[in-house]
Amino acid sequence: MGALDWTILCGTLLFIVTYGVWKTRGSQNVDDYVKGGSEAKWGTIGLSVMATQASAITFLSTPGQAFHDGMGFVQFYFGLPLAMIIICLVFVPLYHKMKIYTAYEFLEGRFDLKTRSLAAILFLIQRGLAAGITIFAPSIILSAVLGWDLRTLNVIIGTLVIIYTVSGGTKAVSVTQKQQMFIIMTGMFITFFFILGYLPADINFSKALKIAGASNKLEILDFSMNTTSRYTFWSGITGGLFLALAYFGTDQSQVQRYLTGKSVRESQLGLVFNGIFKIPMQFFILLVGVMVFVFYQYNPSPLNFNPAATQTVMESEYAEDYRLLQEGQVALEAEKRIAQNNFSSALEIKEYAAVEMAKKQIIEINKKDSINRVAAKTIITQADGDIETNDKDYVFIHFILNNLPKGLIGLLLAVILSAAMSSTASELNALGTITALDLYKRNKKEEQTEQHYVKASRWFTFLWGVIAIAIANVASLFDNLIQLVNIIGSIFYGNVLGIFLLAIFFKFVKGNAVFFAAVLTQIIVCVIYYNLIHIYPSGEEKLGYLWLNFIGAALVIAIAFVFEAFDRMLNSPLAVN
Amino acid sequence: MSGEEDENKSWKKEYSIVLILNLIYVLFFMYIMTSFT
Repeated sequence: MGALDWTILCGTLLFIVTYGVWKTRGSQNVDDYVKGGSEAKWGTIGLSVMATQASAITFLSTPGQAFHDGMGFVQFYFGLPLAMIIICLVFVPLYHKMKIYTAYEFLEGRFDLKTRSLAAILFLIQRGLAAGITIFAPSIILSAVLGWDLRTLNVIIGTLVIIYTVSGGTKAVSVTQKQQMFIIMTGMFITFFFILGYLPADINFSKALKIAGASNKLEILDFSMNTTSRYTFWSGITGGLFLALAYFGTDQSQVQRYLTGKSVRESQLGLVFNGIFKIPMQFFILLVGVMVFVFYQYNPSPLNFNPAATQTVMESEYAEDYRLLQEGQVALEAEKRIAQNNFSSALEIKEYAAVEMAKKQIIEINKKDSINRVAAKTIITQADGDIETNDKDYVFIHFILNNLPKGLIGLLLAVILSAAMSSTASELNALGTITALDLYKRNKKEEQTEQHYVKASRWFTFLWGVIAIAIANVASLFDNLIQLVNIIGSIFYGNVLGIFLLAIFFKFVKGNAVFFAAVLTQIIVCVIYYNLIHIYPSGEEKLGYLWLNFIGAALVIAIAFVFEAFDRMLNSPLAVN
Repeated sequence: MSGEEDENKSWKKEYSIVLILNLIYVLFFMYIMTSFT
C-alpha cells in the first residue's frame, strides 16, 4: 500500500467518524438518542436499512462465492421483497401506533414481561455474537493479506464505531450510513469497470458473460426441490422470506432504522426502497465476483488465495509436493488460456460446433483445476491442520491488492471497513438500546430522568462495543464467514419470528403458552442444527440452514397452540368439576 | 380503527411495483442463464 492509499483510507474513515459526531452533537432525550428524533425521510431509512445488512463480509465473501460457486447465492434474497411488503402492511403500522422504542416492548403489551425479556435476551445473544463476527471477519482477512495485526485491527474498527455510535446514537448511525453507502457503491462500480478494462482487448462484456456461462458460473436459478442444497429458488422464497421477516420485522438493529421515520409512510417507503434495490445490489456484487473469475481465466492465480495457507505449506516438509502442484497448475492455466481463446474465436465467427467443442474443453480443464485446488487444500491441511483452507473470502481482496492501481486500493479498503462500521454501528446501537430500555429501565423501580436513560444507553452501547471487540479477538474462522452469520441468525430468528406472528395474528394464545413454547422450540432447533447441519462437513449437510427459520417459526406456533389448549383444558370449569 | 390506521395498512401501488420489478429480475436472471450458458 502506498502513501496515496493510506491517505484515502485514513481520510475516509476519519471523515465518517468526525461527520457522525459533529452532525449529531447534543442528543438530550431518549427519543433523540434512540429514534433519532423521529425525523428521518425514506431515502435515509432505505440506505440505512441496506447499509445495516451489507457488512464487510458481504463485499469480501460474496464475490469469492461467485468466483467458486457461481451466482446461485442471489436466490437467498428472493424472499426479501415479499417480507418488505408484509412488514410495511403489518409491522410498521403496529410499531408506529404503539409508539414503541424497541420491537420487544410490543411483546410485553401483547403477552407479558417474561416473553419480552426472553425475546430481548435471545436477541442480545445472537446479535452480540454477530457484532463480534462483523468486526472479526474483515480483520482476519485484512490482517492475513496485509500483514496487519489482527487484534489491533479489531480494536481500531471497534473504537471508530464506538466513538460516533456512543456519541450520537441512532441519528449518528443513520447519517454516517448514507456516506458509507455512497463510498461502498462508488468503490464497487469503479472496480467493476477496472476489471472489464483488464480483460483481453477482444473480450467485451457479453463475451465475458459467455465465458463465465461456459464454466457454469451463471447458474443463477435452481428450481429443484432439493432440501439439502443451500440455495434454491424455493428455499430462497420460503426460508429466505422467513429469515427476512424475522430480521427486518423483529431484529432491533433493523427495526430501529425504520422507527426513525418521520411518519408511517416514510418508514414504509424506506423498506420499499430496500425491496426494490436489494436483489440488484447483491446481483451486482456477485457479478463482480464472476468478472474476477473471467479475469483469472487469462491471468495466473494462486492455488489457494489465502496467503497464510500458502506460506505455511511452503515452510513445511510438504513444500516440494506443493511446488510440483503449482507447476502443474501453471501448465493448466496456459491450456486454459488457449481453450478460452478458441472459445472466444469460435464465438466471433459463430461456429457453433467449435463453440461446443471449446466449451467441453473448458469444462474438462475446470475439472482438473478443481482437482488441483482440492489437492492443494489436502497438502495445506497435512502441513497444518488448523489453517483455513477455504479461500472464498480471500479471492476478492487478492484481486484488489494485486491488480488495482494505487489510490483505488485505499478506496476499496475504505469500502470494506465502511461496510464493517455501518453494520457494527447498527448492531451496537440496537444492543445498547435493548439493554437500556428492555432490561435496565423496565426493571428499575424508581423514576429516573430522560438524561439518566440517555446516559445509560450510551454506557450500554459502549459496553457492547467492548464486548464485540472481545468476541472478535477470540473468534476463530470457520467455513464461509457470510454463512456463519446467517447460520447464527437462522438458529434464533425462526423462534423470535414465531413469537411475533403469534402476537399479531393469534390473539387467543396467551403469554405462558408462548413463553414455554419458545424455550422448548429453541432447544429443539439447536438439536436439529447440531444433528443435521453442524456435525457434517461443509456442503454435505442434511438440511439447508435456511430451513431452520421456517422450522423455528412453525414449531413455536404449533407448540404454543398445544400448550394453550392444555392450559385452557386444565383451567376450564369442566376440568375443576 | 381510525381512517389513518386503515390507510397505513392498505395496499399501496409501491408494493405492486416491488412485486413486478422483482418478477422482472427473476425473468432477467432466466434470460442470462439461457442466453449465456
